[in-house]
Amino acid sequence: MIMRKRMMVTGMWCALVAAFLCLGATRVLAQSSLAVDIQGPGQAKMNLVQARPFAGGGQMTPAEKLQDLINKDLQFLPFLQIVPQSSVPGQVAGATADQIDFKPFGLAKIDVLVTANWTPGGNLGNVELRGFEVYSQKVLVGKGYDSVTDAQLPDIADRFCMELMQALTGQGGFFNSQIAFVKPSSGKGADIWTVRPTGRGLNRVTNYNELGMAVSPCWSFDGRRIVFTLIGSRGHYLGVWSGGGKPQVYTLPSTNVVSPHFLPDGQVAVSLTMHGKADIYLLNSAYQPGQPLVAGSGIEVSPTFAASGGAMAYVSDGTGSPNIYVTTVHGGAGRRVTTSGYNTNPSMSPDGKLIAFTKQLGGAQKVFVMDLATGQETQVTSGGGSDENPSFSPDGYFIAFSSTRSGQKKIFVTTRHGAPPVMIPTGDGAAYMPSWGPLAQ
Amino acid sequence: MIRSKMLLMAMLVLMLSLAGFGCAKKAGGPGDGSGTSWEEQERARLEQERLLREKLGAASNELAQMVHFALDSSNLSAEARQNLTRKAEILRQYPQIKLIVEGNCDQRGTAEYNLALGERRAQAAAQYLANLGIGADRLSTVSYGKERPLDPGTSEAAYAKNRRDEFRATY
Repeated sequence: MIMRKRMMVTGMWCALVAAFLCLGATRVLAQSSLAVDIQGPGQAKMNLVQARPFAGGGQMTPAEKLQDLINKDLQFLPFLQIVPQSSVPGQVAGATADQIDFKPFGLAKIDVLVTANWTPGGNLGNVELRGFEVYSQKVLVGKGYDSVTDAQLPDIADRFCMELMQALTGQGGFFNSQIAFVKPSSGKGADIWTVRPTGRGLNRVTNYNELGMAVSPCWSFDGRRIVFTLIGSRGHYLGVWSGGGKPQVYTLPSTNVVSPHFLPDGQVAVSLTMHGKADIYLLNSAYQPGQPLVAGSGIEVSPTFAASGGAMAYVSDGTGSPNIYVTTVHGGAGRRVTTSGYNTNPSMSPDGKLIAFTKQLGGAQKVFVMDLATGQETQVTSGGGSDENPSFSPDGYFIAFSSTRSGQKKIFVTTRHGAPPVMIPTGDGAAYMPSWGPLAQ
Repeated sequence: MIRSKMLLMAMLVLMLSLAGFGCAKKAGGPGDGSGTSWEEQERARLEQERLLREKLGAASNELAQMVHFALDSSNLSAEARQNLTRKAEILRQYPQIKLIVEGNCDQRGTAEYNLALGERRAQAAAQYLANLGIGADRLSTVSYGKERPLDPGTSEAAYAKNRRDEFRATY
């Protein structure tokens, strides 16, 4: 696959802003800007039509396959509303701007039009993908690939959607990230797997099978390492996987090794029971504990850190039921931020402003997001089943969590605004305890 | 010529010491030192345990009797204390064996907090046995949190079944 040219990216921010400052007041607010602020309140939705692909020379099958792959990718982006082409009377005679009658699309309040043009070439042929801003009729994203093969179609779809998301939101990290999670293994075992959020690149990391349970995986901030708890017949161990081969297994001076978590600088914090109760310790470069980072009167567990700014959150049951506390990366006594009930599983947003966590409601857990500046809690998951282990995406927009809403535990993705959850394909069987990290660069 | 040789030697020494330092970092890993992997060691441990339990027969089964806990509690009921008192008798009878206490929680809480909580339950039983005079070196604990439910259901009965300590005789 040769990337032929980056056809023309006119999605310059200032141009876009200028374009929309000129918009008539008739356009509804929900689609008044193509630049979606995904860090904002999150109400805006853009309408997108994927035009039928143009394909000659018997390329209809790969063309339809690619269209389907792009469609599935776009379903993950809750700020896009996918509108079927049949519901818009606009004429698309070809894949380039001069062949498209944009007016009916504009009248139908379509913001983005995606076209694909296949031409004969090596393998399955050559394809050009374009994403147009309907209002200005300009190309937001244009990509061309020569001599594509069937195996390359998913990557082509992902790259196009990544660039489109980048052009629309300033961030495309969703397609450039990976999720570590736990799957049951043979016998009573459990092992760590990784997958990209699109379900591609499913990869098994550990192979303990019936010998042990590898749980609580956590990505390093650079996406190169995973730490996890390995439960063996004699106690817990710390597992460290460094991007390939077998993980290293470390014995710590505690039978309990719970909720290991990376700091932005690559150090690991973990809850250990060293003096009769569980406190959070910082490990040295040999993965051995020094002084406690957070010690209290009860169980201290589940440390989580901001990517920048030095904020830290954790769980303590020092006052009875478990609640979320915040402190700095230097530890010390924390400030309690959840006020009542059973609150666990904190995941701090990369900017340190939000904490996703679970609250027990009835017999089940639901995911909430707390704004640390205001103390306001917002419920972001609802419905049947129990939702656990929220984990912020590296861009701070999406939240992965495990849920029993469809029966056995599976991994779903919502957003900090509570978009309808989309299931991440993880193969057969249960999948739980997601940890979201970037792809290693 | 001699100088460059000395330099080479110095570099070699430095490299060796760095390599040694690298090994030291991994010290404490059960896969280190002995040259066997964690999996091999675990397999050997489990096999040795299996043989021991075979030899113990009925006593092993009696030691394996579980104790159950009330909701959000690691307090031992009268029944649990009776159960543990019997275990202490068996342990006195077989001074060569040790006991592993496995703490488990129900499915309502979340995984990480429950891993810490399960340890409390395991320690409660281990502490009771220690108070009955069983040496601390013969008692160890493992928390499974809510990762190994006996009953994956969501009824009160299932929850009650899962809030438990299990016991394994070991060498």
